[in-house]
Amino acid sequence: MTAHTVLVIEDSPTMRQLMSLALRRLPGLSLVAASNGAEALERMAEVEFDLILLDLNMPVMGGFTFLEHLATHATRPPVIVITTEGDAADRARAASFGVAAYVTKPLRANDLASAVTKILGT
Amino acid sequence: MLAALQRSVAAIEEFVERTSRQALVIASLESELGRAREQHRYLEHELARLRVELTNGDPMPASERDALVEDQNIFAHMFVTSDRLAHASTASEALDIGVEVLHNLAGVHRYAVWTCAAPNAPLRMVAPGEPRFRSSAADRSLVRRAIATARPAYATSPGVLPAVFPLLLDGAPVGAIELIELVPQVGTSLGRLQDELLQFLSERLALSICQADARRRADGLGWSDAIASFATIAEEQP
Repeated sequence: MTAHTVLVIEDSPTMRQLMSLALRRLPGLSLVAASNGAEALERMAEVEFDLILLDLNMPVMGGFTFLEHLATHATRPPVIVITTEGDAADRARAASFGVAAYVTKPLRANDLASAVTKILGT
Repeated sequence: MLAALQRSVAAIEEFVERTSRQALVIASLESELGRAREQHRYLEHELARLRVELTNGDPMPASERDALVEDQNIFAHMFVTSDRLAHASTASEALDIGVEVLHNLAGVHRYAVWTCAAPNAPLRMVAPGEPRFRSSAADRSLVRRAIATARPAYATSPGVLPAVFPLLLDGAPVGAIELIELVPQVGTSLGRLQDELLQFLSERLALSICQADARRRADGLGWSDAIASFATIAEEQP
C-alpha cells in the first residue's frame, strides 16, 4: 500500500481510538487527529491529506461548517462522514458537499476499513 | 505527645489499608486489559489467516465469516472501552468516558445514569449533562427493579427498550443505566454490540469510577512507593 495521510476530525477520544484500531491493519496509513473543524483547518495548512474522516457534531466548529470551508480550499481530499446523525436531511446535505461516503455510528470497524481502502484505491 | 503518635499510627494504618484495596482494584483492571490485548492479538491473527484462506480460494461459509467480522468489531469496541476506562484519572473523567461509550460506541440516544448510596437510598441522576439526551420518564420502577435484582430489567421483553442495566461494584448495585431510546439506525432493540457493551459498563463503570478516584487521591505517591514492596532479585552496582 502506498503511504497515505488521513485526517481524523472527531471530538470524542474514544471514537478516535476506535477508528485508529479499525484502520491499523491497513499498511501505510498515517493518522493525524483534530478535535473540531477549526483545528482541522490548521492541520490542513501544515500537511497535505489524502483523506478526511469527519464527525458532524463537534464543539467550536462542526462538520458542516468545516465542509463549507473545505469547499473554498484549493486542495480538497475526499471526505468520509462518520456520524450518529442517520436522517435523510443530513445525508442529503452531506451529499451536496460531494462527500465520498456517509457512515453512521455505531461504527462497524470492518466497514470503515473497507470504505477507506476503496477510496484510497489500495 | 503519645496521643499524637497514636493518631499518626491510626492514620498510617488506614492509609495502608486503603492503598491495599486500591492495589487490588488496579491489579484486577490491569489483568483484564492484559486478557483483552491477548484476545485482540488472537483475533487479528485469525483474521489474517482467514484472508489468506480467502485468497487461496478456500473460503469459509459467509455466515461464519460475518460472525467472525462481527466478533472482531465487538471486540474492538470492548477493547477501546476497557482501555479508555483504565486510563481515566478522575471519577468525572471515568463517567465522561462511560457517556462517550453510550453515545458514540453503543448508539444510545436518550438515557440516564443513576447512582445511589444504598439499594433503597434516593436515586441521583449524574448523566447526561445535555437535556436533549436525558430520560424524561417519571416512573422509576424499572430502575428500582434493576438495582434490587442486580440484573438488567426490561419493560416488555429482553433486549427491547426501555431497559435498565444496574451499575455494579464488586457485584453490589450502586446505580443504574436507564436506556430509553437508541439512534434510529440501531432501532428499538439492543443488538449484540449494544448488549455486550452495556453488560461491560454495568460491571466496570462503577469500578473504574472508584479506581480513578483512588488514583487521584493517591496522586502524591510515585513510582518509588509503588515498587517499594517488590523483592529485589538483582541490582546494578553504582
